[in-house]
Amino acid sequence: MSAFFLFVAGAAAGASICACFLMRRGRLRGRMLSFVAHELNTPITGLNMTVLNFLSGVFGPMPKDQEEWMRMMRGQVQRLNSLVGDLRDFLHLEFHRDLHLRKEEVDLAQLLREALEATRIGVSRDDVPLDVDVPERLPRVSADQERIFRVFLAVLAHARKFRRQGALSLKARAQDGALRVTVGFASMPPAPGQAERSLELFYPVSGNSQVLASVGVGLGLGRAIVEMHGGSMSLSIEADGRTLVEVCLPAK
Amino acid sequence: MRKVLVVEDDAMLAESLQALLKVKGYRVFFAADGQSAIETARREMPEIILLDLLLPVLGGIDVCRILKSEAKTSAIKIIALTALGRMGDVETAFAAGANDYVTKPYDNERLIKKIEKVLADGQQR
Repeated sequence: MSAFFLFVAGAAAGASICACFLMRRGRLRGRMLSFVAHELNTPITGLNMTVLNFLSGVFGPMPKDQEEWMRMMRGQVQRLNSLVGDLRDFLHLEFHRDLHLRKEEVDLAQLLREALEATRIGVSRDDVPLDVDVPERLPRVSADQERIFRVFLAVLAHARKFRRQGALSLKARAQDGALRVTVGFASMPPAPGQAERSLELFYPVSGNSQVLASVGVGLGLGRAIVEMHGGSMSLSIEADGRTLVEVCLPAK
Repeated sequence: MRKVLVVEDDAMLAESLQALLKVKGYRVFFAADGQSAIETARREMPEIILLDLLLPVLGGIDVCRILKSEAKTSAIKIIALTALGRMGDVETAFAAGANDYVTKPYDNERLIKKIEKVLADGQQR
């Protein structure tokens, strides 16, 4: 009997040591990934600033045919920036539990226009019709501008990726002390339970035979960030098969 | 012409910053490490410093603390350039005397607006 207890105690101690070791390795990996994500900021900033300098004529006039390439490069840098931003936020949220927002007064209508513009290059190439209904002015919100911008990019990217046919709609309204932004698109009907799971922190949603993550770590991170603002994000499938992703933020 | 000191150890970013600021009408000085930043600031007396926090030789926080503690350089405005997510860095930079901060990756327009805002705040006082 005592041998049995010794065995159990030994196994428990061994498991505990293993768990500590794995946790420590996990923390180390988290720290290393954080470091890499932070280090990537500098080259991305350098690339972004240089591309913007070319586009705005800081380096002198640019031939028209090259300007288009530079715009595409700008789109790619923005995409890279979003991916790194998502990775960084995910690490702070999951590993370090210290994701802090930097709120400022934000013109949401302007931010939506910028997000749409950033997405538009790809949209026009795909020949996706857009149905945009965003008022010129919306009440301002107190928000972390850079992160909310990424949330909108992620929602639009999700819509582009999963849209099957028809227009991609973007609508914004001030209603009941909140700002509601809705992105709609006709998609393949998701498997049972998948629509809800799209908003989990990391859930690669399947489309046809492919497994697709929306962008970065998916809509789940966007939802976490919106909720940190005191808002909400939902995804629903309408009777006509359209998917609606709604982001709701409290107005200032 | 308003003087700005750019303290950044990444060559491409520093060159791009310099080109942008020149076009916007600033006279730009440059330092690639913390020690050179202090020497250049003392010598050229810029109105504003764009200060990366992760620098060789002497870190940005120390540069900020030293310049703000000296009577001659204490009025120079300092904008800390830091990575998004490193909230601790921002708090430490403010404690060391930084006037404002910009998070990397930043874009040109946002940076210029921030510089103008910090300089305008200085004029109002």
